[in-house]
Amino acid sequence: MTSAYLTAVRACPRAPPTDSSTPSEITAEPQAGPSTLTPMSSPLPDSTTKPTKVKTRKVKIPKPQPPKTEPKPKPKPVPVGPFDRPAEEEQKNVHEVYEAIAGHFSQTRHKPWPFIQKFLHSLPPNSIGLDSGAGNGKYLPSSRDARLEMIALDRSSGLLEIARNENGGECVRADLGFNGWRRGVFDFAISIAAIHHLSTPERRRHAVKSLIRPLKLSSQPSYSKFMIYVWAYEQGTLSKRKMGTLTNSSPGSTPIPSTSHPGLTTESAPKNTETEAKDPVEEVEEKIQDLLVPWVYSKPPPAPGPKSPSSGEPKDDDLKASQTEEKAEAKVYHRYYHLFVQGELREMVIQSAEEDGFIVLSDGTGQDELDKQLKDIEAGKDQNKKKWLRVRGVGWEADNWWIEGEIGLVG
Amino acid sequence: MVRLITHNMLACHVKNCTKDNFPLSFSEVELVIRPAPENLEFIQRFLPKLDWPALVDTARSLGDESLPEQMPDQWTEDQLKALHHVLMELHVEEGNMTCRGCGHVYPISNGIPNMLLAEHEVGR
Repeated sequence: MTSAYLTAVRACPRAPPTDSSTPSEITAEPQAGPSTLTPMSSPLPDSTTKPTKVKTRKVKIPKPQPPKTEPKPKPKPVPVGPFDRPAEEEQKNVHEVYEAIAGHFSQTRHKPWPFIQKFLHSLPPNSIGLDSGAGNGKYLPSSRDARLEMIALDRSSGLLEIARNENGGECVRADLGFNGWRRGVFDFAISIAAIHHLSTPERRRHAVKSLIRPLKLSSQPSYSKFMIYVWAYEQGTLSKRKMGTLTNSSPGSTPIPSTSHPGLTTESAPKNTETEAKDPVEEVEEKIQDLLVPWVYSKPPPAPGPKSPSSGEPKDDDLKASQTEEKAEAKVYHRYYHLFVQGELREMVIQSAEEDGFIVLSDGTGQDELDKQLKDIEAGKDQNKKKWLRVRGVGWEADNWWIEGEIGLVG
Repeated sequence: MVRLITHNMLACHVKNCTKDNFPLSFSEVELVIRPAPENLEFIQRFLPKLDWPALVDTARSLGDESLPEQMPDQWTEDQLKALHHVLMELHVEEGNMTCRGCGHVYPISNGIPNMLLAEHEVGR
């Protein structure tokens, strides 16, 4: 249900460095929060900001750092308990917020994320697919570049208007649990930074099933593929460096060793990351995975302008934050997020698949190992089950967990 | 811009609505024709996924009679072009899509169909 706005949200986890100047983005607490900013990437600031040693004779009085006008304390993410009424709470803490900030939000989320583009370009041209939680349709141009047809689904009419008008998308307004697609119509599906807006494990799994169900089931290549991104709990704790091999490879090229048997507990999930960064997350304190993450919406000064604030598009977007900050009336919205811990995304996908009657194969990308497993199944007694799912890769990148998978038919 | 290709993939998803939930019937339609780049390879690739009778009926309900009753076994280029036009160039900008089974109405506004249901109407 929450749709894609989310998408947008995370749109540029990678890009954030440039976005970080955006006044709207609130930096989350490094430890707890999903910051949209770069994960604590560098401890450098110190060295760069220190006044360099004065070598000349001239008595240069080191300028005292101008007392940075203390930016107003930024709102922080707030832990939130389980919702009694998930659908209503998501309506209030996700959907209504995205409607309210659509225009503003979209301005900060227009860069497609290279990782997703790579995935789209790996698909056979002339495929048709679904972007569930598409937000402002940021990936529509990428899909066209890759010679794909893609339909943008989102819950926010404000964001879909943008998807349609600016990105020329075919749009459907629905939530992530939408089950109205005929089976077998899509060749691929993506859900980028969306499912983390759903507030219960059941609702999240339902979204996964809804993403996979309309995919074509074929008994021979090419198989239908999907990709899911969600915010990671491990932010800043796992430095990009440690995850280097993951971040540098394309989804397709980071198969999980086929020895890692699917369906195990979360710990076994991203083998790669475990070997790369040992004990990345030493948990001492309790993990807070459910948060309300603030978004500061700066309305343009109320003066002239016919645009209603709710339709977004503050027209002063050219003004620097600093300028607007003073005059503009800033409003803070909170969006609900569930932060995924290591292994959780994969576990969620596998459980969803099993609940939907899929045989879950060993992770990997090779055709030979796939054929072998399918043969075994045909020879075995699992013959009543016909659908299979295979995880092709899973990993952490720039504060997110991603998973790529494929599905097909036995025999 | 609900195109007919999209319409051909959408069914009613109201809880327990399983009979006659596809295709949805258009009504009070504002139709716009927008030329789209012709990509017959795509059309050909999509053929196996089409629900042909639904497409033909729907196209006719919108006044387009160009498709044959039976899906051709062998496609000529002209036939593919006609199909491209029907699938990719007819846009329903405003109107309703109504389920023939349960009667639920999905409105289309600014070319965007609203498939949202109230929580209690949703099947899982």
